[in-house]
Amino acid sequence: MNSLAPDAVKLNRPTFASRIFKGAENHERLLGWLLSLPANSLMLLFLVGPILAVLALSFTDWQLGMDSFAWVGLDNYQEMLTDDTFWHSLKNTMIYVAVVVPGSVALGLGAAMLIEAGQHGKAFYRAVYFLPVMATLIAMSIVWQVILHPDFGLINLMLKELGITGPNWLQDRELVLYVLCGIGIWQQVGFNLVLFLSGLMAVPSHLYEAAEMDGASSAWARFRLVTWPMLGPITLFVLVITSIKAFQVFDTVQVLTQGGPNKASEVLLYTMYTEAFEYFRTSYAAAVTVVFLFFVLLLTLLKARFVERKVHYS
Amino acid sequence: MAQIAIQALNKSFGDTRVLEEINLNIQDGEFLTLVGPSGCGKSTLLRIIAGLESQTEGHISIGGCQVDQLRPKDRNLAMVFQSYALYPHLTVRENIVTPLRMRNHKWYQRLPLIGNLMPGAEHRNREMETKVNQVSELLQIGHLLDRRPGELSGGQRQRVALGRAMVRSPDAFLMDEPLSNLDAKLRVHMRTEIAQLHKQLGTTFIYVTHDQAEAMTMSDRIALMMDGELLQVATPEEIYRNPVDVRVAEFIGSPKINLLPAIAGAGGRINVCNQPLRIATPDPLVQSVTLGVRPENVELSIRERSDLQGRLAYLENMGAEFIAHVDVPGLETPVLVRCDVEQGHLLKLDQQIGIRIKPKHALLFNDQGRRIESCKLHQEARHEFACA
Repeated sequence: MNSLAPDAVKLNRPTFASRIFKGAENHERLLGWLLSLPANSLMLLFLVGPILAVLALSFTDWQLGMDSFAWVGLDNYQEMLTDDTFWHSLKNTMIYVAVVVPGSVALGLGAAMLIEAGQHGKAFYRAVYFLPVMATLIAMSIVWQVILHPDFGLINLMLKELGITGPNWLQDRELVLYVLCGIGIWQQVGFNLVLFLSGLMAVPSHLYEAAEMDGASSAWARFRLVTWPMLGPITLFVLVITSIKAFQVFDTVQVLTQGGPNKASEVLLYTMYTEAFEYFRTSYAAAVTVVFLFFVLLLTLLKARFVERKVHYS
Repeated sequence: MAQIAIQALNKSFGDTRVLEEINLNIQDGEFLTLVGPSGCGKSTLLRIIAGLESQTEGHISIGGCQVDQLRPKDRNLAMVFQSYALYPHLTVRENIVTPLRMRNHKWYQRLPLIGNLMPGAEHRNREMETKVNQVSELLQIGHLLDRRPGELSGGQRQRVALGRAMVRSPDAFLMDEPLSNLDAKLRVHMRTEIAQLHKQLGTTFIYVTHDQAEAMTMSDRIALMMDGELLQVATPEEIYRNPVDVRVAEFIGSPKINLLPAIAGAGGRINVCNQPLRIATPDPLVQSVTLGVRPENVELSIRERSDLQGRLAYLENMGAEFIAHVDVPGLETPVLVRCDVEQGHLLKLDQQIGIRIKPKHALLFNDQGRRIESCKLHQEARHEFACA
């Protein structure tokens, strides 16, 4: 504005020139919106739309295939509060997240540091650890089913050699959830490892040298002083992604246990699936989905609001 | 006592030799500069002294004790890195205090929160606080203590890096091109500050740089390295006036020394472009030589009194002086002549001009580049071809 109408700025009174310029600015803004309209409308339709639809559905009594529906307010949510299956699956999901997230993050970080410190075969180890991430979990679940079979499964056969009678991994109510956690960690470690590896490569080597000169000679001291703080942004990203993925656990439950025995491995997404596609109670499933989305959204917000500021230093 | 002795040091990376037979004694309290072009091995040598890299052969001792097997931490040296290497997640205060915490505290005393409850924690914290305050006062960074490195300018980071090195009074400071990331003006300023700091502390400084001006202005002694070899170790004055190798003469000094191909004629008399000069070599076996003469030891003169004649190709106005570039037929590079302002203003581009070389300051190098003796021929003895 200065270059066009310097006097007007000084007098703080709009002149013809400045009004033209203002008009041009508005015009440009309008053009911007118009140009991004296709992208914005597609985003609303395909990303925000379904979420709003689910939210709306959860306040109705609609069931798949029905012609009409009625608004029932918070009835679905009230039913959820008294539903044992829901509480059970929420609790199991929480346990699953609480085991898989720290487990796969710690193992991923540890393996990444070992691979980074090694001299040879970095690419090989990276590829091997990444295999479970690339393989379809449904297919891998079938392999796990064979491995975990109580009579001729690999694990129990090996235990037998040692003189131990192995448990029935997938039918034991105490064990089943943790077996699923183990498979979850196995699947997620490779992904975290690759992310941590890229993070480790980005740590400037002169920081390690400075730490060495400053007297941080033990591996732990170097880790505390340099590696861990410098991996902050990556660790945060890995934590959030792993948490969201852990909340989404479904494939292994569907193939291996169907939530059993006796709901011992019932998880949120599996509850949602059975409610929607076996009992056709679409609106109730929508309410469960809203609860699920709430947790995912909460994690994302936590990341953005509180943690992100503390791990970026510049 | 922090005399540092380097004996017969060799370093190879695979088949590549980067350091060859380095022998160097650094006195207690000395400011020694390792200078050389990039890739000459000076940083590697510094890192070997620090213990960050290990030598292939040879020994290093600090204060009379051999340290070859010691880790960097146990050599009691401090290092300032070219990139400063400050911990970006820690404040300036925490950065400076890190060497104290790491060295003087056991791991359980360093634990967050719990460490403060350990016996003696308050005393230790107060002691560290005092040291940090002393250092920050000396470097004038007191107002920056609670900021993170990311919020500081290059010069401020530089000071913090110095502070982190100083805080625990090491036996010697190792500095790896600490000024090369600063802008030109600040670099000149920090040059003086580091030199003053050295005077104040009286500790041994080993300073690596590729900038000959830094080496000349700051050091007690300069160690000039090239291609992994130590060519000369001497005071700035000595290395400038008396280079032992043509590469040393070429590296030190700005503008560069004039190097003229020459031939030793009868009686050792030096000829440049078939013009006999008033310089001779006493060695009768020498034939082709290189004559080195610094721009301030060449003067412009009238034709009749001149050694060589040429055309004034370019005139650089440096403010306090002029640098004249004279194209002499038969020489590939122009001869640089330093002249004062009055003379400079009288000169015209493209004019024919004569130059005179001051024989007393002429340096002769043989075909291997080693320095050889030279002497001045007296004016009246001009036709007798004898050394004065």
